[in-house]
Amino acid sequence: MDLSKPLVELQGLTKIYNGSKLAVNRMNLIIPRGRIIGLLGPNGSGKTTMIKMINGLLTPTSGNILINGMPPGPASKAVISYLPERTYLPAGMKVKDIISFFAQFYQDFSIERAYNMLQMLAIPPAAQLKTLSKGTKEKIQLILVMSRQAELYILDEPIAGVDPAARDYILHTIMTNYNPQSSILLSTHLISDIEQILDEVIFIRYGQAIMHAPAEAVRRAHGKSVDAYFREVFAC
Amino acid sequence: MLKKLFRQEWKSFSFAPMIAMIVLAVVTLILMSSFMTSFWEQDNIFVNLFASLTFLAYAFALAALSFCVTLCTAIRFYKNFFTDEGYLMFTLPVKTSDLLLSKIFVAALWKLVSVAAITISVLVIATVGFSYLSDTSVIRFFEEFFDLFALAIEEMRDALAIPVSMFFLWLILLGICSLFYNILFIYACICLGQLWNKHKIGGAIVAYFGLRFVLRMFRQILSIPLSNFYSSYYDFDNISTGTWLFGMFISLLIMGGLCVGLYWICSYIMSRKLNLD
Repeated sequence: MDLSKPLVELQGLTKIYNGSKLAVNRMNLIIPRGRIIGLLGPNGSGKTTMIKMINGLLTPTSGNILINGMPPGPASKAVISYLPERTYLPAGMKVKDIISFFAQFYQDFSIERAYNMLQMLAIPPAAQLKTLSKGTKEKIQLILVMSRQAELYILDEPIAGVDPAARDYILHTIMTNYNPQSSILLSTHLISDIEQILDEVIFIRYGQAIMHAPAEAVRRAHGKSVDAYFREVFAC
Repeated sequence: MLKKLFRQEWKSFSFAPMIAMIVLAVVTLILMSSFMTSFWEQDNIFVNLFASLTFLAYAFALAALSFCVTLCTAIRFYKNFFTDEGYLMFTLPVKTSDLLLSKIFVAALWKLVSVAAITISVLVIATVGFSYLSDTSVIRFFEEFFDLFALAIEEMRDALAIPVSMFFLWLILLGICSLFYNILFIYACICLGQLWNKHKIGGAIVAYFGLRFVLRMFRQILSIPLSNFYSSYYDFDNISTGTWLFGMFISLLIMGGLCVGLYWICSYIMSRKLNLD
């Protein structure tokens, strides 16, 4: 871990879809270490596109992404634990198979922690993934992601579409399982639910980071919660 | 990491081809055992109907195994890399080449297994069927088969201007190249389909016909230097050793080159043009 370099640095990052639709627009951003950062913006603001580029799932149209000073590749993927907004679990596998799959490929994966979380959620390890509900699959994905000792956790809409009880559990899981020396980049538009755990916030609009500041500074400067300020900035 | 990916891919790939292989084994056994009994000698409508259905099922099982492996090759590649599962595969801390090679090797190995299974099945049925029809023993059948084979080798030795072993080595190398070419062709079409903004499967089908046309033209042009070789292909006596070696070398070079080109297309798109929905 090279602490002298920023964890993630975006330099003029741009993504244009289908030759005309600008999703991320010359974004410059630095993601520091040891912080929980909220990536906040309305639907279609470019949050997921940016996250997918950091994870190497989308090719940028221009600009650079540096993770620990290196472009996305096997080395960066080994230190990023990514929870996408969609379910990617192969249907033919059992829960225990996907856990052993993660243990094989990620050196920082803790099988013990994964099984503990499965037990807490009463998910049988022998269950076939295709027989589980969408919500249960999302919980399994969260378990897989949070069972790693990664340097950066990127969670894309982890609480969207789940009931309030599950939301609490997810936030509890994130808070109790993450390593304080790591960073968490948490993308959402449901700010009120996560505001209390955020150290910093990044506001994104039209593919650009329009603000990156400590959550407490935002509250102090504007005399309101981040959620209230967000509603003001992004009012339709 | 390649070893781990290979193991994982082998497990995921094998289910459907394994079932197709078991079906072929069962149908082969039924057909074989019915040849070995006096079953066919009964003359009634049920036996005739059973005979027709068994032969039909056998032909279907042979085709199904081959088709199943090809279909799994395409589906596994597309589903594992370019649907939601791609989010899992492309975030693994492995090189794109390892992802690609694991798929290629597993598909190639299964193709070889299926070819071996089909060959063994056909040989078994041919042996048992021949001995049933001609009323000779299986041992006699093999004796005659090997005699014919030895005769063919002898004929080839006289006709070829190169050692027979070298000719077979060339055939094996060409077979290996063709095996990888066919797999890489499917993968390249699927990858090219990903360059479409929408309708990516449609794009892959268009790429299939487009690439087929382009490669056919390419091979046609490249094979001009081989025209001398091919024009006298059936006139073995007039082909010199030099022409044989040149023809063999060029054909291997073309197939090898095409494999490298197709691999490059896949690798380039997967590492430089990846855009998962």
